[in-house]
Amino acid sequence: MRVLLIDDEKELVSTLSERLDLRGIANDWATSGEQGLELIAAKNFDWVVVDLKMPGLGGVETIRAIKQRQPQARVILLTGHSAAEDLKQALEMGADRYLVKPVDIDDLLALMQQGRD
Amino acid sequence: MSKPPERDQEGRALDFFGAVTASATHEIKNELAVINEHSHLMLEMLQMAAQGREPDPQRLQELTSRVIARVGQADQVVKRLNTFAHSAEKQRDRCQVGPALELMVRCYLRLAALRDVRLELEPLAGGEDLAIKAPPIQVEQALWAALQAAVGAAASGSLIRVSLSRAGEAVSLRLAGELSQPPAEPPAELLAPLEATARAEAGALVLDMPLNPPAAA
Repeated sequence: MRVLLIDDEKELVSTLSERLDLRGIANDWATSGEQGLELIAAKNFDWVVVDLKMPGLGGVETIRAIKQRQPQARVILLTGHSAAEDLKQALEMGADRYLVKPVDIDDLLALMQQGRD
Repeated sequence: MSKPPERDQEGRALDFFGAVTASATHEIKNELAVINEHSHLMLEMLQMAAQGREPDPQRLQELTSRVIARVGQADQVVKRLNTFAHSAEKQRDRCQVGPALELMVRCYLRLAALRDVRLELEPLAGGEDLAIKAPPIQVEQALWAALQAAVGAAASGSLIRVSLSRAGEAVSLRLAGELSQPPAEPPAELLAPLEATARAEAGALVLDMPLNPPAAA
């Protein structure tokens, strides 16, 4: 399983990446939607975790682009608050799951596991 | 689809409060999310150390320092939110414009960043202590509306310089930068109680506010 983490908060995404490393989960991370799409162009991912609110290419636009380029990749939307409208839009745009920050890594792994079953 | 009804003054004030507090709580939530990751990683490193794996003291020190720094940043946001909450107190009828502008700019930084726009507050010309005879919340609402208008018109990736100066018996706020379209004028209902006027200049939005608005006398 390979995971891509996209969040404009570098400290969050890099530390979450380290925690996935400790669990033996291959992953890459990016701090913008644009940077994430560059990685998508270079590698295949099973799961992409995307922050909703980012400067430049926002979460919803990033999800739309991911689904066009790697339709098989499943997407988990990461959000600070579970605003119903934002979540509805993101799920309509192709997000498969969502998680509210702060991330509970066990919840994240459980979501990925459910997606595999 | 029917157009939503126009917001009245009270509705606009609620929208303003909602926008400031929602953005601040997003910032706090973000700080907590980072602290959560760092502290869990530290815990996992220590758990592995207990199982005999050599911990990396430098990484642990780095993570601890970052937790301390992020707690400090979250505390700044909470202080800002508290200052903002007190600005709505009814008995306050004078507003120090410099601190009010600094507060609003700091509150707006995140929203501007989401539009890929940076804000830079220039030091108050002459360091004057400018006070408007009006409730701080009214002044803050007008300043916020001006920031919204300027950021909404700014080109992506651009910088807006925010400056304040005294112009006779008025204070003049100038938001200058690379604007990709003319800025929308802040709502007249917000400017009227302050007798303030807004105008667009080349690459700038200017808001003039009398120090002693007749409406407040």
